[in-house]
Amino acid sequence: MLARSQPPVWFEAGSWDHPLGTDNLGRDLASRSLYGIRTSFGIASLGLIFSAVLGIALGVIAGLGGPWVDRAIMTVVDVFITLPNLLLLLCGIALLGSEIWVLIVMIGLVRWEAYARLVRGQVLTIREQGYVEASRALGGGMVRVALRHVLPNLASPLVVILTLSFPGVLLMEAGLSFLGVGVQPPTASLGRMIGDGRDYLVNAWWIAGMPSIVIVMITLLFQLIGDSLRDRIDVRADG
Amino acid sequence: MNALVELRNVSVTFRSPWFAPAPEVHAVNDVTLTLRRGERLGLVGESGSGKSTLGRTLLRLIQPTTGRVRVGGQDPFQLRGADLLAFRRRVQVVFQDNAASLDPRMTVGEAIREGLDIHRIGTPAQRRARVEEMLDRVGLDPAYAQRYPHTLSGGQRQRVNIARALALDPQILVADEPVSALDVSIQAQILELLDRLHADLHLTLLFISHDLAVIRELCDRVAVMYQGRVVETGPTEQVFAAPTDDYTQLLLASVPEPAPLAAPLVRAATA
Repeated sequence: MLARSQPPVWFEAGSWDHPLGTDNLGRDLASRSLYGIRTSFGIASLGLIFSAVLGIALGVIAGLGGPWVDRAIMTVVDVFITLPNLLLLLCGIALLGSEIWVLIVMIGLVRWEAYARLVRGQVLTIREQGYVEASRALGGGMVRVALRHVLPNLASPLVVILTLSFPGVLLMEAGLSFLGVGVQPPTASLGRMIGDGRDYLVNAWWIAGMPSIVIVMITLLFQLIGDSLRDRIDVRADG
Repeated sequence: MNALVELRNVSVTFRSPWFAPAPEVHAVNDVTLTLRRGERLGLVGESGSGKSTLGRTLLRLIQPTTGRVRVGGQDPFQLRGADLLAFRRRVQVVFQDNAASLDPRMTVGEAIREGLDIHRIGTPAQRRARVEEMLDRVGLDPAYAQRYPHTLSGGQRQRVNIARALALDPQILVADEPVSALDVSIQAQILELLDRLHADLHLTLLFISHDLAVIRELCDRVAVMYQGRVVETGPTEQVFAAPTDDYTQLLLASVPEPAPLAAPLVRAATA
């Protein structure tokens, strides 16, 4: 317990034993950050996959299912867009408890409408392409059109969008954990660590600061990856 | 008289959505038309005259609002399941936009094979052989099967579209402005190809075009469409030599004549 609230190594009181310092309980911030990345990444990726699957499926169905199906799904989408995300998340967690799978499902439920909207728009464009009409003339049904023509042509814009929206989901998890309704202690997650460090901001800013820097770097990294992916894919689409 | 395709009093009306009270559009208005087995019928008219809509009705892609369609005695709009698939094999299509007609994510071989896959014809090896056979038939090297559409020229892409349509061995081919997006020398090659395929495969051809010269070169019979109606039908030479309808006369007169007529005008202008 001697090493409580020890500053990072580049300060006078710091040491190489704890390169990023320790928190108020003497836990090493570097190792906790690494573990926190694992938790946060897990929740964010599963939440993203859940919302993507839901959004893509409903978007494709809305785009191909005819005017009434389309109107029904898009009405639900509009309702979800008007609901404040945070309120929805807090309600869900209040009702279902703050277990990790609840977090994943709730993140999925507040993110899917954006993908559904995007996918539907793309499907409406692809649906009018000559190759879809040719496929129908060959006898291809809607399922075939969706699987063989629509999804492959959606894949590259989707990969870009999903990569670019990953940081947003990560921040959502971090925000919830910061508010204390996300990941519960003692499990480490980046948002949880920032929340824990909130009370020590004046005396030991690094307790909240180190995980914040980690989040900023991850977010930036994904933005850069997404941007370069987009550049590559655009070139191929034009060719 | 062996009528393979019969369109009787067919009308297609596009209704506007309920929230936009625009007038209805009569794309096709009371059209009666027959296609005999092995015939090449040219459907000519300006843009918006309803010729493509009529073609899509025959393909069972657009349902007529009123009227009757018969293909080989059957109403395609009554068909379901296996009967509908059998109809799809009989009637195939080539569209104008050769690039949009091919999925950019599918190789040429996959595109040509799509019909065989849908109808589950043959083993994978037989399908591959069929793709090569079709490529050969439309005058492309079998190696093109591995390539993506964007690496092909417009004329080559249209050959692929023709190969895809003919892979199912259809009786009837609807060619919707198949050469309009191509330049003149390529047009001639594709027309020659269609002409040869017609002879080799005993195709019945509905050739839709706005280009009178192209129709004249390829078709046995012509139907002239104007504002959704067929205003004149008859053997090609007869219609071209002695058009009876006012609109047909106007259409024929609007084709620019080569030099002899233009020469005096040029001289007058430069004087």
